[in-house]
Amino acid sequence: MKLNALHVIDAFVRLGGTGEAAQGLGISQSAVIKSLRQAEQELALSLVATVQGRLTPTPEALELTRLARPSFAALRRARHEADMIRVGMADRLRIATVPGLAHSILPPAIAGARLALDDRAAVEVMFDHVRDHLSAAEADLAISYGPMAVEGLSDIALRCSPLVCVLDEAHPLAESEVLTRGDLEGARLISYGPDGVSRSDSFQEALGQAGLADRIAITVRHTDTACHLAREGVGIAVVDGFVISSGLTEGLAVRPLENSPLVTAYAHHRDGAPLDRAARILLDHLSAAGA
Amino acid sequence: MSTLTPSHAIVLRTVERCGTTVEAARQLHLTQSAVSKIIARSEASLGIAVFDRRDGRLVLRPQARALLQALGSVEGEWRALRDAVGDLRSGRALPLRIASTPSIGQGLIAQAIRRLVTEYPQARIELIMGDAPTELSQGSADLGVMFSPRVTDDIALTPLARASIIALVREDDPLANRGAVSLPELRQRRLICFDREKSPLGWLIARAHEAAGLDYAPFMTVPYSISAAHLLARQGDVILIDSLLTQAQRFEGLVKLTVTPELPITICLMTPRSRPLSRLAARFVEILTEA
Repeated sequence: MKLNALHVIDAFVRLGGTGEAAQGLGISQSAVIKSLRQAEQELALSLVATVQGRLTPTPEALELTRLARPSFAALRRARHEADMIRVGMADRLRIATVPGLAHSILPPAIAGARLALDDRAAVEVMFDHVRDHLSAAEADLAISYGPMAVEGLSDIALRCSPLVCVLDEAHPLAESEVLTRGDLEGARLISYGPDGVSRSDSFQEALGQAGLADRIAITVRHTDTACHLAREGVGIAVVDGFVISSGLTEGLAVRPLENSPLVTAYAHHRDGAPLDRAARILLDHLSAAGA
Repeated sequence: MSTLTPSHAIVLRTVERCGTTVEAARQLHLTQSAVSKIIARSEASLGIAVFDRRDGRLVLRPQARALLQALGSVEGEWRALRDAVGDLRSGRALPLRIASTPSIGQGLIAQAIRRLVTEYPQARIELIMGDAPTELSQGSADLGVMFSPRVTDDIALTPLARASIIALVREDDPLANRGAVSLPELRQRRLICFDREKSPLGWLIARAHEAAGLDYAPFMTVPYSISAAHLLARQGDVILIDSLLTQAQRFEGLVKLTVTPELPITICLMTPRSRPLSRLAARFVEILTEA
């Protein structure tokens, strides 16, 4: 089994035809077809069929492409490690997190930890698929909105915050000290959408308990986007109160949501493998700031 | 510059374990110069030195520890992929899904499956008893085999075999010794048969009744021939079903009668026009059409 052939099969399946695969890979269509035929011989699998006059991937080709994904991902990770060595970041603290927390509680904690480490710690922050990154040992520490409740991973509750409303200072509702759910009736709301991966998400639970889950008109991935949209007067951002410490809300009005349920930020690490010094210091800063 | 491949990952990890190219070459059944070339190519493609050369030994650079761990994942995933290709080849990974009816399943299909599993002993097969055209259109079946089905343009029909409608009565029925019966002779009998709207056979039998100037009014309608055979309860009841069922299975206490004039039915293979078949499905089609 050859890696190059797998790349050709992957392009053929992903792009839906031999001409498209050739264009995507920057090779000729006949080279694509030749490579597919050789792979069929070598693997003793049927990969290509003519359907209505067009070369089409067989169910085996679709399945093979699906099965090859972890190998491609492992190769990408290996190349990424090599890149990190090249830029002098072989020894770094790797943090997996969701964008909402990456732009609120994480930056001050990283700044504090770097100060404690005499500015020596290199840090790599990666987004999304937090549990997968941590389980695969691609991250040393993870931060998310909910407990993972997975064997082999520890969950540490860091701190809680109510939901807040971020809006343009010129917005009529900015005059109120506290906003109620009723105040938000008719307003265009901006917030984070469910990531579809987390088993537990205290932010989404809080939105639901506040009766706002089905009221969100614009969903965003990043806190910055939510604040920018509020600044442009597009609507009112409903985010967690952790955002106040980020500086993203400068020039904007931040108003508490009355009787808001609490959102909890969690840290996670693998059991068994002891945390190294930089990770421990960062975890202390994340916890201490909430104390 | 060549890219990092899984084979390179395996060589780098073996060299790290063995400490010398000589020993690594021995374990990998390669020449020493081939191992040296792969190390050089891998280091060039990654853009970093992975090993330090000390006293004739290759020692992993401390910075490259995480890289070696990542290469371990590459090796593991590649081995898993090779195993998975074996499962694909044997038919174990992608089941052959055939939508049919019990009487065809027990006869024609059972015989074809017997031949298929001699060639693919590890093949997984799912026999789906449902509405074959629907299962095929939804993609939940790869092939369908049915009596004279009504299908959409997306499904190709291939006639496979002929059968006919027969009658079953209890062995103490006055008709039992007749060997044959016509529809008008069944005028006063309670019929167990198929629904004219839901079943192609029901439609065919209903049309034959109308042609003979008879009402088609079964007192009980069933989805499959086998259900009808099991439901024949009272003396005087008659069931009209396909002849395949009694070829495949014997029903104690029931006698088969030929229906005159003959009501021929065609068993058709259904294949999707717009989707290619897996190798297993294609071979099954060959076996069915050879029979």
